[in-house]
Amino acid sequence: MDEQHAIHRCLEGDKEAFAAIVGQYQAQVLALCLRMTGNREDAADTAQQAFVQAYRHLDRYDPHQPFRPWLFKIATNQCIGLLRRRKHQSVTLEEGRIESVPDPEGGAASLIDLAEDRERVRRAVAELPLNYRTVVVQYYFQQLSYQEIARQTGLSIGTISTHLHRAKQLLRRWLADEEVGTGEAPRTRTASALSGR
Amino acid sequence: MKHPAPEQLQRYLAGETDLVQTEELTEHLARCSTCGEALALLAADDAALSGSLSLTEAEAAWIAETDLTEPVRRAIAAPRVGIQQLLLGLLIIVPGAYMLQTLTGLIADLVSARGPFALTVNLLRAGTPYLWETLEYLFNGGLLASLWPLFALGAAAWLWRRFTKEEQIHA
Repeated sequence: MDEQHAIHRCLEGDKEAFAAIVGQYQAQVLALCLRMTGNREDAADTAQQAFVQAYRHLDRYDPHQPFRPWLFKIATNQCIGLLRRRKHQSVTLEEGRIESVPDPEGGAASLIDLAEDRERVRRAVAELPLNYRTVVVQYYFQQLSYQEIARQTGLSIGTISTHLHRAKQLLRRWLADEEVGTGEAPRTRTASALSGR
Repeated sequence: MKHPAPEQLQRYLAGETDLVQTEELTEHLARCSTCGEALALLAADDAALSGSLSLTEAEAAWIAETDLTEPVRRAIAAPRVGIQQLLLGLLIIVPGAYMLQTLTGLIADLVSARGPFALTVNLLRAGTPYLWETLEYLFNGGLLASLWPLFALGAAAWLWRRFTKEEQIHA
């Protein structure tokens, strides 16, 4: 059953038709939720909720637009909602109040140089403030363009660029601190990185 | 020489600058080794992040063996109790409880041989004294009539179960 046909049948009340859509997209949605939430249990929960919400709001989907970005936007919002409720994130950084994150003493080393393995980089990304993490995951994991990210998040291109740049500054700072062994917790690191301490 | 901001270099790297900006930056990068190195570092960071965020084998295996079809199907199939169902329940329960109260009053009249049933009831009572004494006790004492709120709650509970019961999944 093709996607649009399945959606049409769902809108007519055939709940079983939605199983085809779940089967088609569950791997991608799970992967996105895994990167956003950082653990498998939360990823499965948010992915399931994303599909349920997509089904319940299927009447709001514009059939002239691709279904995948619409579904992924719902999944991203589910992850953001969960993380906000869990309050695992450091404070969300609002534009206009943020000073530029000072460059760490790591200098010209790239992230992969500072991080000895990719797992450290992944853990560091999982500790980013929510607004930065969302853009980082969308750009580097989902491989979305700036325009696609802008459509999903409502952010301007300039803001997306700034978020990506500052996220990398934070990551570089954290990973450089880990190299030195400051032992600061990520949430503490965020505040100190922003203040330049 | 005016050096571009890091964010501008990031956008250049991502191919998100317009034609004019792209030309200007390309010319500048051809002349400025510092910005060229900064761009190379940004590119290395991009590669590091893309590679780090890609799925590991363990994660890919977990995703492959996780099936959300059944949990989603169950969640979708469970009816949601909305305001419409609640109002419908009230419309059924309140008049139904009142009717039940009226019915118990009618039965009480019947048992007590009041009103139009007097002759019939008196004849029956003569034939079955113990039965009628029990019924008189129950109805004249108002015991059953005062129980109608419980009947109303029971009806509400039945309606709640009816609306929240999962639909049968037909193969």
